[in-house]
Amino acid sequence: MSDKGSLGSLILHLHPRYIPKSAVGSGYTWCMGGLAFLMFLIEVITGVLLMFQYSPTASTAYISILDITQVAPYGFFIRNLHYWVGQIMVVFVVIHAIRVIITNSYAPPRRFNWLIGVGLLLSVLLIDFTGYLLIWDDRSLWAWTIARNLAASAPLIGSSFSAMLFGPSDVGDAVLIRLYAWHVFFLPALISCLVSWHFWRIRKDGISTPL
Amino acid sequence: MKRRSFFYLSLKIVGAFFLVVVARAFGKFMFWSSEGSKIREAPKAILDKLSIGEPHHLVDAGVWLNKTPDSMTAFDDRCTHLGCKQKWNPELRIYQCPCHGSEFDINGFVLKGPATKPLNKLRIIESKNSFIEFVDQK
Repeated sequence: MSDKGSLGSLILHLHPRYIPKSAVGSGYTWCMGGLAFLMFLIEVITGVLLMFQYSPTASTAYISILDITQVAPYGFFIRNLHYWVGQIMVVFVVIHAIRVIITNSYAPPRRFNWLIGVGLLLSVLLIDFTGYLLIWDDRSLWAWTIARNLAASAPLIGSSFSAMLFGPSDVGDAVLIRLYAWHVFFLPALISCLVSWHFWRIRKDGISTPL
Repeated sequence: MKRRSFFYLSLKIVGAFFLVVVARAFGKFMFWSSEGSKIREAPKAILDKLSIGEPHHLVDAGVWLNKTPDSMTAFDDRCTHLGCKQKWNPELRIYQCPCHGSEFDINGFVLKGPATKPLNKLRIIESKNSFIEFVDQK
């Protein structure tokens, strides 16, 4: 199976040749992993569409958000879809993690896949937060200030870590473009890699069966 | 036609229709340009409906238009704080921003923050056709 690579394994996971019937019953898995992945795909599609109209500069970001919501055709629908599906994705990922804990599926031989899942949970939380900051209104600015100070308070690497993640301490274009880069490129790319790896590990370690 | 085949065919037709509707909406959104929305105009006939001292909201143009005894003023309907659309309060006779509570008098000057700049005043141009245009003075 491993010679097919991550993409082949992803397709095989979506259309598997054989897995235990008991392991895929929605009563057992709650479908949360698959649904979270579906939410991610919707986020990618609506996110790419929003990139056509969003303007990532400090002076125009909020105005472009208002334009998207109030003026652009179907903009309110696409923005709300992006926003709410993002929130639902976080909920699904958390419920998926809870299900894995309840059914003891994090135990060997799936321990490493559990760690990948934890990485996915953190990435999803971070992409949700950076998206919140891109609105660039009062609440976003305060959230950015608090998050930056929190990150900076970490010992040893705090200041450099917060600068790397949230940009310079002066509010302006440099901050927004950094958050934008995280939100539209690095975090989606990271999530895509981790999801492919997650699915590949499911094939490799075997899907967990009901207790 | 068997019932199952009819069901699948119906499903495909409904699915295709749904896809066309979504693709059309997404296409319109993608190709929309904010430049086009900056052309602000209203039919001249609107001038006859104005009452002196009662600002009128031209929603499509994004303008608050106010007739005074000897002239006319037009303001961008977006608050100078963070761009929310302010409302006219006829009882207090002030513009109020619904987002953060900024207030402006009828001449666009700030009465209460967080906004610090007065409302963006627009130049009124009577074009040759039956429209009046509103142009940013910046």
